[in-house]
Amino acid sequence: MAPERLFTVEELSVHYNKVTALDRVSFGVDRGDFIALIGVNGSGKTTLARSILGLLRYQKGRIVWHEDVEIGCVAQHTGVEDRNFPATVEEVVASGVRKSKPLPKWLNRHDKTHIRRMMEYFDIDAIAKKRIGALSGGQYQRALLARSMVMQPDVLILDEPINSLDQGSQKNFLDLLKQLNQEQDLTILMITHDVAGVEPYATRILYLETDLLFDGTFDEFCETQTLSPYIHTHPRRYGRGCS
Amino acid sequence: MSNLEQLLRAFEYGYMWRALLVGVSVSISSATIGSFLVLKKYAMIGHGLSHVAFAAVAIGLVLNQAPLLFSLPLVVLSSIIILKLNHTARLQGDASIALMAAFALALGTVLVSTSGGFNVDVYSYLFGSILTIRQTDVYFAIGFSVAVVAFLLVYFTQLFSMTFDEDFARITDVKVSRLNMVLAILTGVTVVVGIQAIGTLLISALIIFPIIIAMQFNRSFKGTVGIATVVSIASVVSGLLISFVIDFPSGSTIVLLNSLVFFIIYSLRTILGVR
Ligand SMILES: Nc1ncnc2c1ncn2[C@@H]1O[C@H](COP(=O)(O)OP(=O)(O)O)[C@@H](O)[C@H]1O
Ligand SMILES: [Mg+2]
Repeated sequence: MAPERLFTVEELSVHYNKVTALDRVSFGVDRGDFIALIGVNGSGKTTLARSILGLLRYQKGRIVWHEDVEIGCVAQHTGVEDRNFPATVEEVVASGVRKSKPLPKWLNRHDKTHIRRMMEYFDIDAIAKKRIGALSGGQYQRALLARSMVMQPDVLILDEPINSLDQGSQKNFLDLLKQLNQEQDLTILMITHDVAGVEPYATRILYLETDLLFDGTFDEFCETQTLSPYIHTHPRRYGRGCS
Repeated sequence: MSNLEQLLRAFEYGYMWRALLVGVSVSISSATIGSFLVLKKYAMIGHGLSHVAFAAVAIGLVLNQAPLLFSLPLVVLSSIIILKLNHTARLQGDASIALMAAFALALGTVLVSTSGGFNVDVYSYLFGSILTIRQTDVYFAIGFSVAVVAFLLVYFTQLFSMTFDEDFARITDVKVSRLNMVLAILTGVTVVVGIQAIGTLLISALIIFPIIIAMQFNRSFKGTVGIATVVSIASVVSGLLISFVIDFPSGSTIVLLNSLVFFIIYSLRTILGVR
């Protein structure tokens, strides 16, 4: 059975004033893909994610949606979010309530059950009434994940979601993503720094450096000669992943 | 005559009732709209508008126009401009608002001195004077606060979502720019409606203080906005009554009350080590 194409990025270019952040990037995403988008700082990863999410106006190229696709996102976690923001975990998760719901978007019993189930699934139901700013990094990211999953998206885009987490929480978070990917056929595009960590998870690697230099499997990525200088200059991060 | 007797006598005056009605209306809109502004880091809008409102009132006085009628379009327009400044030039946004505030204050002061200086009239617009409130002002204030509450009831979920995370709100089809615009307009109107009871220079305090006080209580978003509204109403009502008894400018009394409450709660929290 041919894979079901969800969207295609065609010759996408983005410039900020004089800086070229993306240069004619093209690739397609199929349902069920678990893509790790990697690249050094400033290589355009966030720009690409924001373009796909419709948060950014791009100058050239286009993004073609092949069907009515619902997207969720978990933005780059900086660890310096407003710790004093007065909102509970439950309120944040509830803000993912389906966008087709008519105004006023007051939650009915069905919505509330759905939201509670999501919090149970992501193991944050015990801290539902806690202030969002009081959470640990891992809990915070799971709350943002739950908020997006409340929308029941087809595609989830995550921007360095595990960067500021400790090792245990990183694994826990990636395991959750893999579970969603396999059990619910959720399509995942995850931006990450660390190719070493994603090997057991991602089915596809995109390597970005303003241009899209590589699109293929993990093994192919390690063998690709053109990228080896890059792997050499980052032996700790990339060499380990490929050995 | 004891203070209590005097307090009770306050309710015999029509202007006191008008002041209380306008005060409660303003406190509801300023606390709720203010909550979103402060949490979106737009607190400077209130500050800038305060000064613009002063300039607008001064222009109205010089031209012998009804100052409030005159201020309304000017302040609302400025509110929209400040919002745009805040957006297009993130870094310079604060500085632009500060410049705008200084310019408006200077302009207002010059206009006021050409027309007889800081007389009682000007003074009362600056710091609030309940004697100037007319019946039509009361209707307008009540109508406006009803509109604000209706708007909040319908859009609360979306306003919360975009206040917490604007990008996420956008991808869930929240019309962020449009709602920001509505917030800016409502802020402008709140400032103008609050001129008489609170005064142009102090109204921004009533936008900022209630939510800051409410945030000391560690509640949910809904709870915090609720507490802010209660704090706001309580401070305005008691401030108006106190200012009647001891003959202080009403706006100053209200702002001093808010400062006192904030100071007490903040100190208690610090001393008790509550997080
Ligand atoms: N808002 C912006 N204005 C100007 N330049 C930007 C902006 N955002 C990103 N850039 C530039 O675009 C390039 C790509 O940035 P980004 O997409 O954030 O990369 P990454 O997420 O891979 O670190 C960088 O050179 C960065 O400095
Ligand atoms: Mg980035």
